[in-house]
Amino acid sequence: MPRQPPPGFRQPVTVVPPPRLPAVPVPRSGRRSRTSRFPAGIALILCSTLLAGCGALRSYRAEMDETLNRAGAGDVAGAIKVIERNNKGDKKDLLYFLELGELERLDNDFKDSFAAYAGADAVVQAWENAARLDPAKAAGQAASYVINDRVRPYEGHDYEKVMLTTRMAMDHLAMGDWDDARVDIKRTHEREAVIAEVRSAEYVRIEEEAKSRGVDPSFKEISGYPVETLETPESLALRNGYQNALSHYLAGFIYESLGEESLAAPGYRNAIELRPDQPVLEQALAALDTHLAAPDDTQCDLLLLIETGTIPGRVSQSFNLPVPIVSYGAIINIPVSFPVLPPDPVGYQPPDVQVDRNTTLPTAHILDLDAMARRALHDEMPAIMLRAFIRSSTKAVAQYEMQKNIAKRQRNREDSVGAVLALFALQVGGIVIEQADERGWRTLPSHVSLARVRLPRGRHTVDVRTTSGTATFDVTLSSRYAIVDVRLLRGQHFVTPVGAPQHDSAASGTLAPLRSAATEPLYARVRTIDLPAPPPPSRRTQK
Amino acid sequence: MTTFKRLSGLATLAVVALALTLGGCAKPKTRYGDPGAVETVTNQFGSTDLQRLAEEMTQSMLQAPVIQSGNLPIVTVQEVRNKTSEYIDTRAITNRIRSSLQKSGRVRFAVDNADMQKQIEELKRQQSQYYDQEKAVQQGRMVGAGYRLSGEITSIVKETEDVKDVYYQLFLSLTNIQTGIEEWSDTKDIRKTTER
Repeated sequence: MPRQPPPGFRQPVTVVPPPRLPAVPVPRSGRRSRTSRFPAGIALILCSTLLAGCGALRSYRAEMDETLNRAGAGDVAGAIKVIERNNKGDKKDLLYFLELGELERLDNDFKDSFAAYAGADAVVQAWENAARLDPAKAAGQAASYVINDRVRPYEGHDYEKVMLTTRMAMDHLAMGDWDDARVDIKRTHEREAVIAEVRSAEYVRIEEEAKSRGVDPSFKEISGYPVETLETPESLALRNGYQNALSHYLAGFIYESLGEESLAAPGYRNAIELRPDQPVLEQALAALDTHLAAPDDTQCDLLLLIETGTIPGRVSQSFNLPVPIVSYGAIINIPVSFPVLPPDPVGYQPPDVQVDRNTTLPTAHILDLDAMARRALHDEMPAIMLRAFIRSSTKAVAQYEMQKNIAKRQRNREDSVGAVLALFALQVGGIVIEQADERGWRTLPSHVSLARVRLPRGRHTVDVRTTSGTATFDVTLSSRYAIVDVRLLRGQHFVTPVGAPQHDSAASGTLAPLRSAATEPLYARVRTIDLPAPPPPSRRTQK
Repeated sequence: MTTFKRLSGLATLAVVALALTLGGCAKPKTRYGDPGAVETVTNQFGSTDLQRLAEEMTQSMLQAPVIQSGNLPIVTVQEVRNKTSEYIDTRAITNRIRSSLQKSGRVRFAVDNADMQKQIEELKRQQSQYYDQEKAVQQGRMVGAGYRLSGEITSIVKETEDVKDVYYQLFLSLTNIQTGIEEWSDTKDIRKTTER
């Protein structure tokens, strides 16, 4: 159905190429023509660009492609150097800390990883505090209304904020600190509640503002936008763009390991609600009472997390946006860049995991960050479009006025060379500056699967099938609960012995990352991991 | 005149942008509040719900004949099962009930399952060579509870675009461990509705 213009509007007018240079004589007077001056609109845009620094033109995607290529080739140290090279200033931003934290995890340096995540968390906490005070105020940055979304201080996508505290919990587990992991996981579900409030308020605000401006921030307004990449069955099946089943399941597992049944149960319950019809997840809730009531029977409850791929990066793409100009009663098509997400080419998740070569464990696909990234962009688009409408209105007004002025001057046979050049500069400058925000936490995996099994304490062999062979490693279980995190990244396999106390790792040297080449023989034993014991269940003081 | 208008418009835009930017620099203020004050920040389970449920349950339990009898019954607290999808630490509820009952002087509490490990560790520690064995506590002297306090919390959540309604129900019961007879039970509920 074609878009209906608001009452009082004339038919859409497409303003794109500047008019041809007129063959009129240049005035003899030495004085500069008034129209040869750059209009204030251009000056404002140029000044704003300069004030915003390189943010408006910086390509985060290109920077991260290089980083991921290095990490995917097994050169994590090199990947970290790329990050450092691209972030030389003293004031680091949220993404620097997020990417660094993840790379340090791959390098099994959990202390530095946690320090980086703590830097990121300070930024997110500032947003959270502001959001708690006034959820409606948490969105909206003035500069993005003038230049583009890239100059907005990056506050993180909602699913990234949730994943941040989840990763912090996993770092604490890796360092053997289950108590602090509990703090992080508790903050994760508290953060989810704040996000829910903010998005609810934002939805109302955008709807009202769009209505007052007579615009419709929906996909159908952007001619040619690949909506199908965002409205995939997987992304539409999600409850929202920020709650993930992994964080809740991990909460359940941590609370269970600490003997806190009343908190473990909602963790598993939420995970089941977010990823329904997965027997592996349902078993955890069904067996919770039995597990907690049972005496220590020298078995270990092993949770295996298998992470694959990397989250898709947003790409800036130009589309024509019909911008209504209320004061002139016209609609002008302005080229505006919007972020798009290319389809995920890999999307691999291992269907099962083998233990001791005689037990095959089915896996549950618990986290689809690819779908979450699509859903997040899908849900962010109304706000992105509204900002684009507002930003483009200024440009459209300037463009419309200048074009009218040129036409008038041509009719009167006056000098219009300066005005034509100014209009050309405005259009070219607009296209250069108008770049969509491509930023996002790119080192995150795109998929996470889990398997869970009770095994006698002692040494066991685990085999994980990958697209390039099988990753095999040994785990030595010595406690009631243990977690192992395996990351498969472009033919490299990184095993994170979550929960290993630092002093043990230093002594045994078992924390170096596993890097098994794609050509490695199937079922080759490449690693031995000693897992630590969480503290025994006890009455806990709430942190 | 047109140029003037245009400049005025842009100047206004710049001022608004500046105001918005500076507005973001406002620092949040921190102050102490009344812990017993009604909290309605969100409709999730909060401090007021916890206090209200614990207070009402304590008053109800104190009226139970087994407690009114003055025999100082010994009670052990079991985990109150959380059947909601919210992260409600039910120990915070039972801890509050327990301390209120203890203050009443009508009930005594035996070590519960969650604290048993620590209790055993302390008992064993005092048997070590570092303690004066004549003054150290003896093993096998712990007193078992005559009653167990258990229960569950459930919720029903209904949500539309404009309204969210949450209903919580806490059920507690006091059971005679010897006979299995339920001596007391009660339910307390809370309804919270948020309109957007």
